[in-house]
Amino acid sequence: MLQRLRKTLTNAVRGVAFAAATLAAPSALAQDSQTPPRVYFMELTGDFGYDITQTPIRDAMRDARNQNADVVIVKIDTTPKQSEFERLPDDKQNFDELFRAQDILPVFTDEIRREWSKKPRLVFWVKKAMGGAAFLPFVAPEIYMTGDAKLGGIGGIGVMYGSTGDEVVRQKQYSLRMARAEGYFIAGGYDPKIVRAMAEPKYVLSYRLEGGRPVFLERMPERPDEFVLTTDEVDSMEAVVRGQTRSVLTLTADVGRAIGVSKATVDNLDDLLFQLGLSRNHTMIQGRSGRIMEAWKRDVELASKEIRKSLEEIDRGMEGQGGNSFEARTQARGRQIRLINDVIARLNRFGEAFGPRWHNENNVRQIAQLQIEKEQLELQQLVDKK
Amino acid sequence: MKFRQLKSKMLSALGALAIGFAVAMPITDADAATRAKLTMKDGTSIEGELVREVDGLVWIKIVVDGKEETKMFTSSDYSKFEKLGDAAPAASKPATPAAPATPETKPADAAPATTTAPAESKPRTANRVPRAAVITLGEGGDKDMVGIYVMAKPLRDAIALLKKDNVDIVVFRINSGGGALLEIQPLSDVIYDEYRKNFRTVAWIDYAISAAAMTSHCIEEIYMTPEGAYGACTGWFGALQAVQGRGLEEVLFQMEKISARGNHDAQIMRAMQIMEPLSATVSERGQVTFYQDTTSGNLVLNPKGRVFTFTSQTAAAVRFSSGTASTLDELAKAMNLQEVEWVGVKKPGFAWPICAAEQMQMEFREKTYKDEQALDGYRITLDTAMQMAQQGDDETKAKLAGKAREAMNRIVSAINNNRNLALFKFNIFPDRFREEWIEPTDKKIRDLLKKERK
Repeated sequence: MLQRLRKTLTNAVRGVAFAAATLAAPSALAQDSQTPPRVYFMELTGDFGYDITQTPIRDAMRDARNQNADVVIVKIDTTPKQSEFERLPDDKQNFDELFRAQDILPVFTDEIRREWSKKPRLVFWVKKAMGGAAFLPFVAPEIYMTGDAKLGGIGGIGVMYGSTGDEVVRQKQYSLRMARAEGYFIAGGYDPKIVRAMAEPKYVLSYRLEGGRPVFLERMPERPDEFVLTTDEVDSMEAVVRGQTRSVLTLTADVGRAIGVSKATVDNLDDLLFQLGLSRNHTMIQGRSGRIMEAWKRDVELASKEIRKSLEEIDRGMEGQGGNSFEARTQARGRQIRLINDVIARLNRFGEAFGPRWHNENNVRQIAQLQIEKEQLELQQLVDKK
Repeated sequence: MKFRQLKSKMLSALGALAIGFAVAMPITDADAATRAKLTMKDGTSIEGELVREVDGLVWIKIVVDGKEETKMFTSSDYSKFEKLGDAAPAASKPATPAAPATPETKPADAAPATTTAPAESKPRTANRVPRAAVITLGEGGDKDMVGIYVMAKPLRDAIALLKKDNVDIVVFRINSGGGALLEIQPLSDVIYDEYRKNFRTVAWIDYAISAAAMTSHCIEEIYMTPEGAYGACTGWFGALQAVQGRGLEEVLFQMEKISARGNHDAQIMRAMQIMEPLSATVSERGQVTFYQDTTSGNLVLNPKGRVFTFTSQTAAAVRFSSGTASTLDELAKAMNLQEVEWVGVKKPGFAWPICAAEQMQMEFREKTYKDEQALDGYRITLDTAMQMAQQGDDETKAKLAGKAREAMNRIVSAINNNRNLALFKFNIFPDRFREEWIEPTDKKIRDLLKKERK
């Protein structure tokens, strides 16, 4: 039964994908313009929230603005530092990367409205956007996907609190998160039912096409032209992350096209430009986005190492720092205070990349704790005597 | 339930906000004891003492549940506005008998001789462009908690600055994930009793969750950003433990009263607080009726076993919001403002001009944030200095007493800026903080110095 259902879905998706491919025709509007549209390309790769974060993205968007971009293409290909499988013990919390995405999304929305005199055409091109990164593409009215694309991995909302506390409070937590996530989909022009299917296990969603547009139905298919997206089956979390489940939706290129999320499937930039109607008439901007992203990754990695190194030295205390004279103790405390100041400065500068998980894994104390340690050293110095 | 449905219908009649064209009107404050009649778009009428009239917004004093209240009506609520001339006290006419709103206006109670504060405030120039200010309640991130970063006192303090700026319209931009129940009533009171009577008061919701939604709920005129969310108001503590028993009943009752302030059906908030279902029907005339079940209304808003949160789509569908706007221009359009002057200074990184009142809120939050981060450090410094001083000689004690006093003064400054830090950081009620913490701490430090003098 399950196999049959899966086959039906696959066939349905393929069928729709074929139909969509036949109907899809690249827009020629842009090519009518006398001045070729200026196209800015940026690629977001690496770990979401660490490498892919607001500061370098903001810098790249400002570079695009300064270079008078008409079209901004953002390719996203996340590669978590830990494998998806290893992240599973914490996967229940992965939906909460929504709140990490919330720091990044305004760069593509509010800041464009505020800082650009002419709003650019924003295009997301998805290879892999899992976890919190899955929310990013939906700010753009135009999403394209690669043939092997995966977009989702946020299916933990219904189980993220397990059996902790009272049901009504768990429901409150789910409700406020879902409403926020749905809000981002609404703002981007996407049906909020899609994110519900992506996030909420056992939410049943199917669709049919009317006039080439998907109509979503919160029930199982009842007619031959209706296709299932999610069912109330119970899946393992491992399967959720791999996009092989029926309880929550992970978008592939075919499904994305079938339900109108993806405009087309493209595997290289030339094909994407063709689909955008720009293949014969555009200027590719030689932007700094690549250098900006690489510099951020390098700097944040270096800061991470330096912070750990400084903390190791701080934790060794005044051990082996030149005898026990008043001068030696003063000098040692001075050095410790300088190290703490360095760590605080780095945590402030790169704080957006250093979330609770990073602090925990690297055993790095919070700034408030470091401030207290500094105060203690100052007090010790105050009462120390020659 | 019957009572709730009846109340629901009454409130819907008063509060139904249909999208309509702007009615251009001069900006004037109403003369004392001038009476006015509004013919609502659903055919009902409301009559009472005209308190104020600004750019199509009309404030009329009527009696609701035996209590005199000033209600605000937007130009999209009514089809006709008539000034009836001077009114003798207690000579008001009852409203049209057929109107659902009529029971709320009682002849003997209507039209008191004096007007409320707004009419007494500075006169406004007729026909000038209305002046609007954006005040943020929370700014997301680390500065969004109701009870710490969203508080009644700085809002009350801001009113004088808004009046000085000749502001007619206050837009509360809400971006908060919630906070402490204890601050909801003071916030509701300052918004309802002071803002609403002085200004056209509007909420522009980006993210109003839990206590933030409960704070906003006394405002009738609500707009959402496209990504906006509003609701999830379940009270809880500790490890996701729900507020239950008397505490729950009290907050449910409190929110029924606050719902009435905002002319919102009480069933909406109830579905946001506990797992009550909610459905609604929107009539052809745009009247919305809510039901605390999933079967009576055409539109199911909240299924059984869930807690309700509005999105911009659902809020617009049942006219809880009067419009959706992502920019100031879109907001002005949704508010039917043909012209508006946004008060304040444009600053990089902000989507609206920063007026003096808003600057005050920002500075309050900034100081609170710094203090909140540093308070634990001040306490530890204070305690450590006191402990170390026990062992030291007179010179050391003097140094450490100075350090301890410095830490104490910083703590006192933090609590003076934000009294609720006493509760959240010291577990002491703000009113008792001087007696229970400042005075004993001060005495301990003085005692250290006394020993030094011996």
